[in-house]
Amino acid sequence: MICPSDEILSASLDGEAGSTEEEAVRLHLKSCGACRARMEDYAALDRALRSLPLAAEPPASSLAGTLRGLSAAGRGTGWRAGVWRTVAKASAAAVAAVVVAAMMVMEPGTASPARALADDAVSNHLLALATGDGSGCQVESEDPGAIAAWIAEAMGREVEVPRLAGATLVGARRCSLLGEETAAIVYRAGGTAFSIYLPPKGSAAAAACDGAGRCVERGGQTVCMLPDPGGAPMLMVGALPGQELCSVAASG
Amino acid sequence: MDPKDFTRLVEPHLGVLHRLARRLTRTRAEAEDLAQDGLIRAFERREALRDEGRIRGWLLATVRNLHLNRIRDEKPHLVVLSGLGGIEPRSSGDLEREIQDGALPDELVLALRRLPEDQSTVLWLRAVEDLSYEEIAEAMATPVGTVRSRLSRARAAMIETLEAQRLAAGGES
Repeated sequence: MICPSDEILSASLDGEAGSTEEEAVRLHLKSCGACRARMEDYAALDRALRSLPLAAEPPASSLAGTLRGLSAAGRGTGWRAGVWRTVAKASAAAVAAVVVAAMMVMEPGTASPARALADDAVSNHLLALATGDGSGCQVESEDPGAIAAWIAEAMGREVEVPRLAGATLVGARRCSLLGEETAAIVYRAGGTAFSIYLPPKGSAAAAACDGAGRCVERGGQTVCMLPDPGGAPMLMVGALPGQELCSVAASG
Repeated sequence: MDPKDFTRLVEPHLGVLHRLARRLTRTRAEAEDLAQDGLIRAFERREALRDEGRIRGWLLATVRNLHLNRIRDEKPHLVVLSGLGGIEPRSSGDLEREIQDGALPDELVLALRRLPEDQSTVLWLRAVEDLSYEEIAEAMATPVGTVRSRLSRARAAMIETLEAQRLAAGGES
């Protein structure tokens, strides 16, 4: 009598053997105690694994919070034009650089400092909104002066907090872009938050923003890099389609 | 894919995602980080999901790939394979009955940890999470035939290890 292989017995236990194999196993088990015992060992092993505490462990509550945060971070489209029109007006000089360069360049997936920066910024933006109280902030205030004062105290940097008509200042956080400390300012419009990063002059993030302004998309988030001749570029991240941003910026 | 659709599709699978992360990592904190980062990665790449019916395997693949990339970048670390945490083999003498009675949780966990990752993950996803071979193949980016052979090897190795532990503890042969 030739016994089926362990692989066939194992697949048969799972109902994943082919019909011919299944029938052969069924007939074989009638007359082979060793294979029946083998199958019983497999089944007992599976039951024991299912009885381990981890098998019944529910997901950490933070995971559901992350999912809700992701949903909120990428919500809606109707508010986008308004937000970016106001962003464009408030950041006229920087946006002009983008428009003059003609381009919200939809970058291909090439490895570059700009791409690494975009990936880092999107991850930071999504993670910030998905953790803590979901605001994405360490300090909350609608007062640009208060936010600037907090950044000065917490990070030792003097920054100008942009005033964006139509968008509400929510607060700020310290974060890291390309391994260097960066200030991130959070705004909200139409129920959705977006982050503006102000990398310090001379940082790797600032260097990655150099050159033509560009807009890249990452998983439903748009990253807009706005260079500055003075070396103080900005980086914006939010659920905004790049082409729409381009047209808004061009008409702003 | 609309973020709300993503949430709706993913929410039922947070448990299996969490447990896979727990199995792949050494601490609860690492698992939470991995699961969370995997979720974000999946969200960022949600447009790549062409078939919503395959989201569970796709999600698990995202988390596992993230984990594999991370450990590939890690410096080698020592793993102590014996004398772990005071786990002492014990036996009442009958392997099948002990397994059935759930009398071997420590030994089971230890044996599972000793399996190669690709075998232990296959076994976990099949025996505990009840994934089909096709879903496991999706989660592990491998052919169904490989899933089948790995699963067989994993079961055989687990039973052999548990049997050896039982004998070492003075059980009957």
